[in-house]
Formats: sequence, structure tokens, C-alpha cells
Amino acid sequence: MKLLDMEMYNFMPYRGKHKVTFPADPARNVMVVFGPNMRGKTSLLNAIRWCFYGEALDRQLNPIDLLKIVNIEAATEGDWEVSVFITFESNGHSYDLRRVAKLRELVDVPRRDDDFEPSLSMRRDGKVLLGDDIEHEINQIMPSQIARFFLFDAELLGQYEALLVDDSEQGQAIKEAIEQVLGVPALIKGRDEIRTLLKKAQAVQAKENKHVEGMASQAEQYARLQAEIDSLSVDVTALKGKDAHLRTEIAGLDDILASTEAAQKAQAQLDGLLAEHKRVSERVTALKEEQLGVLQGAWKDLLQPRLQQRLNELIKERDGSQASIQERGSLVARIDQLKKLLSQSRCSVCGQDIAKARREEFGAQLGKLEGELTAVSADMAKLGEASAEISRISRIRGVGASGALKRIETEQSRSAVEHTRLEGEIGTLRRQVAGHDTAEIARQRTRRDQLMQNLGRIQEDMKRSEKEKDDKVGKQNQLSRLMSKAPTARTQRSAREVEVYGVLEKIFAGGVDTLRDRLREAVAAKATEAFLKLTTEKTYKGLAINDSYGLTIVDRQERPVSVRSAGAEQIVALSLIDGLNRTARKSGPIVMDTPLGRLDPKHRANVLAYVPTMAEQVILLAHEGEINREEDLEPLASRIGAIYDIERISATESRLVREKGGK
Amino acid sequence: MNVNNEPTTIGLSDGAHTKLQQLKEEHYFAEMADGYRFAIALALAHGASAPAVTGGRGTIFNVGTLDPDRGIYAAVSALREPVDEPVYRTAARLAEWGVEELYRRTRDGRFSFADILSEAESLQG
Repeated sequence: MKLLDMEMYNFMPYRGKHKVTFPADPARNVMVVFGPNMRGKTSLLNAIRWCFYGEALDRQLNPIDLLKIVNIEAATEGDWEVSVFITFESNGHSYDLRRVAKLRELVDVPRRDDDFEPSLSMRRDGKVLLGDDIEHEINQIMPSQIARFFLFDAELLGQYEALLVDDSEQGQAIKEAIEQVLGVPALIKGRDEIRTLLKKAQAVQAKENKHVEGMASQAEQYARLQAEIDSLSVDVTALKGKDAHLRTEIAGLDDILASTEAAQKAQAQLDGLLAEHKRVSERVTALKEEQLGVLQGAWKDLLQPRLQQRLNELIKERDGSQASIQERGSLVARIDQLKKLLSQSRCSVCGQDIAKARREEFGAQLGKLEGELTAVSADMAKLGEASAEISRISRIRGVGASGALKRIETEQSRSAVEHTRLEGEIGTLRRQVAGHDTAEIARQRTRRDQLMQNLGRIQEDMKRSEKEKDDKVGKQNQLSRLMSKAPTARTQRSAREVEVYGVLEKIFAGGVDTLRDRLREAVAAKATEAFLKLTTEKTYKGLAINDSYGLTIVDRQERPVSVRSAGAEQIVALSLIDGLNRTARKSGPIVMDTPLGRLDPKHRANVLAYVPTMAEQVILLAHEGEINREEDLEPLASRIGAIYDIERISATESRLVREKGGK
Repeated sequence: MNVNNEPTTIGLSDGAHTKLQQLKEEHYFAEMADGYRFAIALALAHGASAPAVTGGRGTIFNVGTLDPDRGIYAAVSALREPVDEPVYRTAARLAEWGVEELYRRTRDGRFSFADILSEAESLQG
């Protein structure tokens, strides 16, 4: 398929008519649309999607309401019509496709999508196609399931990681789309149709054998198994109904939860901060209690400097008293000696008379010494007092309050700052969640979790019933083979039909597996080819594929590289898309939004060099931060067929301007 | 000093009493007795010459409860200027000064017990 041109009317930011002409020259098959964020790049991708499939998708891949598709400025002025008209070629035919949505009669201001009257028209080679033929034709050219490989936001390529996860719902959906691209369902449909014919023939055979001698019991057993299989089929159908119902309910809850995501996030943050606030408050209380405890004895620490000083004075006083007390003995001996001398008139040693002057001298000495002795007695009293006071002061010991209070106050101050910060943030978050019924959101989240659990149980039941059913079908097949081999049965038409359909069923079933294996090998080989051109890491050998088409990087030692960056993920996903497109029966133009956002300059250069070979037409929707108009496009200049710029008219209105020049 | 002359109860003026009560209510101290002892120590640390208390003097504490191991008695005896006055009477005057000082400081907004202890060390340094 090749796009020729597209005309939009009031589509998202493109108010009124805007036309884009796609590059038609195969040698210049790349078109680049430059536009800043929020200006309408993704809207171009959505215009193509909407025109072909009737739905535009947001960044979460949820459908966008028609109310939001109509340009807001036009709608404000009462013009609620929106349309996209695309001309294209496919398989040698030329087509034009037009999708329009207008207000229904008697509706002035639409409130919901039902207030619009949609219409779709298509012409093939100038002839008008009618009703269901249009959708059938689109499905022949490019079914919506496979559009994801042609019209995509490169930022969302991470979803292909789901293919590496067993039993992932998203992975299963992508796998089905991949097999659709590759044409596997056609063979599966063939196999299923033959299976149905085989079942019918087996049922007829069993019915006929009821009346054949020796076959009655097998026929009866066959019929019993059939009844059990029918019953199991009813169960499976009921379970599938429940499964679908649950999925719808879960999707509804997901939508509600997604719309309140900001409030939920704020509430989760608020819960976290409240817990943190409680913890800090508890710490503040504990610190206060510790401080009050320390303060009970802190008065002793407060006195320590002065008490120590007083203690030093007392110790000095005590030491002085002790020294003088030690001299008391010699003082008493000398007093006794002087008293004795004064009581005699002659010297006891030389026998001479003691002179008067000498006696006076002894008397003076005695008086002095007796004075000293009195002082020593006073010192003894002082020593007792000092010792007692030293003992009393020494008992007043500090409790280490200074260090403890410093630590507590530092922590108190830190906690107070933390407390203030938390209260500020809590206030902001409370304002954010105000107006949202967070209890109701929590209830819906719990409900969703319960539904997911129920879904898991139903899927288990389905698996079990399917297995039981398969076992019984296997037994039926065995019985059918036995009945076919019986001599009396050989002439039956039903037996021959069972035989023929049985062989055909085997061929088709084997064919499905063989086709899958071959396609997987082909996809892996082609994806590896692309990957080796795109990657900058030379130690990688290629890509390995799993049963679900999930790709893993393999190094030269054949070891899987399990950890990969967002950039590497994007390169692997692009390789998968390229591998699929090259293996697929159907191919179309690639329209890639934000193609290089996650890539480093070297990978960017590799991708830009590779894109012209990815499809017959490649349309890149980029901002100038991703692709440098001068440097990055220079090596690609010979392949560029058109460059458009999205220019801002107002916050809600943009226009497309084609770059002048030869392109 | 004759111990027998010591009062058996001890207190504060009405004004200081109210302030000490407020300090307790504002959680500066767990009990008024803790604040009272701290106030005496603060006054002693600063070498405050506490004036005689004027105004009403209420009985707040039993001396035995306030000073069970007689540490306050010992500290006041050791550090006060020689004065012919019962030790606990001096302690009450010191408490009056200390409560007023604590109250004043807590109103400043940048109050810190750790700073008070550091200051006491530097006063002797």
C-alpha cells in the first residue's frame, strides 16, 4: 500500500482544511514532519488511523472520544464536523477513503460520541464500494490488527517486551497480531474447518455403528463422550462469557482508575508522608521525654564548674591543714624543752647560770611556739570541716547532661525542620486529593484486584475444561479409528469420510506448526539482519526468537543478553517490526511517531540510515531535538521526498507547511 | 549553721510560681521540682546575688521531697556567700532569680538547655 495524499478537516489541532502529500517517488520514499511537542505530530498518525479504522488512540493506547477529535476552536464556533480523506494505491488499484463525523440532527452541542453521525465511503478505481464491502476491502489491504506494525509511536515499542513474558495478556494479543501479519490464521482456519467436518463424519459414523453388530458398545461410548464433550463445550462457552464480562469490567475500572491516576498517586504519596509524619512526631515525643529525663539531673551538671572550683579550694585547704598538723609533734617537744629550761636557774649541761637575757629569749620563743600550737589545733578543726565538705560536694556528680542535651537538641532541630517540610507537602497533597473520593478509588482498586483474581480462577477452569475436552476428543478419535478398521465398517461412507478428513486434519495441523516454525525462523533471520545494522554493539551476534516471537539479544558466545536499555529495547522492537514486514504477506507505509527519542547519537544515525529500506514509504514524525535538520538529514538527503513543518497558530491550532525546494 | 533552723518547706513568690508552672505546662520540665532545682543551679552557676523575695511567697515543695539526698543543700552551702541565713532560705532566693531568668530566656525564642550548660562552663573558664 502506498499513501498518496491526505486531507483533514477540523481534525484535532488542524482547524479547517489541511492537506499532506506523501512522497510517491520510490527513490525518495522518506517524509519527515517536524513539530514541537503538543503541536500535532501524533494527530497526523491518528488522522490516518481514524480514517482507516475509525479510532484515534492516546499515549496509553486508549481510544479518544470524538468530542476531543473535533478541533476545539471550530467546535466553539459551532462547526462540529470532522473528516479525513485519504487517497492511496494497493495491489494495482487506486482508492480514496473518506471518513466523516457530523452532528446528528437536532443536536446542538454534543455530549457523547452517539451525538455524532459517522459515515465512511470508499471508491476503488473510481467505483463506489458499499457498506460492509468497505471494511472488507480495508481488511484485505491492511487489517486493523496489523496496523500496529505500520502506524506506531516509537516511544511505546517497549510493549514488545511482553512477548518475552510467558502467559502475558498483552504478549498474547501482540502474538495474535503478528500471526495475522504473517498469514498463519488462514491455515489455522483451514485446519479448524477440516476438524469440524471430521467431527461431523465421526458423529455420523458412530450413529450408523449403533446398529452394526459388535460396534454398538463403541458407538455408545462415542455418543457418551460426545455428550460429555458437548457439556464441557457449554462450560467453556459460559466461562468464556464470564471471562469477557470480567475483562470488560476490569477495563472499565482501569479507565476510571487511569482518570484518577493523579489523585491516586497523590493519595499514595500522602499516605507515605502521613506515615513519615507520624514517625517523625513519635521521634519528637521520644526526644522530648528523653530531654525531660535528662533535665531531672541536669542541675548537677550546671553546678559542676563552680563545684569543681570550690572542691579545688577545699582540697588545697585540707592539704595545708594536714601539713601543719604533721608539724604538731615537734612543736610540742620544743615547747616542753623550753618550759624545762625556764624552770631551771642553771644549765643542766654546763652547770653555769642562765643569763637573764637568755631566759627572756627562751620565754619569747615559748610564747611563739604556743601560739603556733593553738593555730594547729584550729587547723585540725578546719581539716574536719574541709574533709566533710569535700565529701558532700563529691557526692554531687553530673549526669552527662551537656552532651546528651546537645545531641537531643540537634536532633530536635532536625526533626522540627523535617516536620515543617512534611506538613507543607502534606498540605499540598491534601489540596490535590480534595474533591476526589479516595475511599471510593481504593474500593475500585480492591474490586479490580478481586476481579483479576476471579479472572485468574476462570482462566484456570477454562484450561482444565479445555484439557478435559481435548482428552475426550482424543478418546473419541481412537474409538473412531477402531470403528473405521472394523471389517463391517469399511464399506460405510462415513468411515471413508472419517479417514479422509483425519488425514487432511493431520496435514493441516502439521502445516500450522511447520508454517509457524518457518515463519519464526524467517522473522528471526530478517530481524537479526536489521538488528546488526542498527546496533552499535559489535559483540552481539544477533537475535533469538521464542515461541511468542519475543526477541532476545545473543552475544558471540551464544549467551542471551538479559539486561537491555530503553534504547536497546527500541532497536530490538524496530528489528522485529522490520523482520515482520519483510516476512509478511501484507505491507504498508511505516508512520513512526517520536522515532528516535530514546536513542543515542550513534543509534540515531544507524536508524536514520536504515529507515529508507524499511518500507515503500516511511513517514517520521519528529521534533528537532530528535532529528537535527541539518546534520542528521544530510546523509539522508537523497532519500527524502518531503519535509513538513507543523507551525503553531494558537495553543489549540496548528498548520502544516511543506518545506520549499526540490523535495 | 544550725540545721534545726532550716525551713521544712520552700517556695517562690506568686509571680515566679506562675512562671514556673507555665514552664512546666510548656514542657520545659517534666515536674515543677525539676525546674526549681535547675533554677537554683542556674543562679549559683551565674553567681547571682539573689535579692530577698518580695510579694507573696507560696509554699510549693516539702524540702525532703525537693532535696532527698541533700545535694541542693550541699551545693548552696558550698557556693553561697557567707550569710547568716538558713541554707534553704538562700536556695529559695536563688530559685526566684533562676525561674525569672529561665522564663525570660524561654521567651526569646532561641532557647537551648545545652547552651545554658556550655555558658556555665565558660563562666568558670
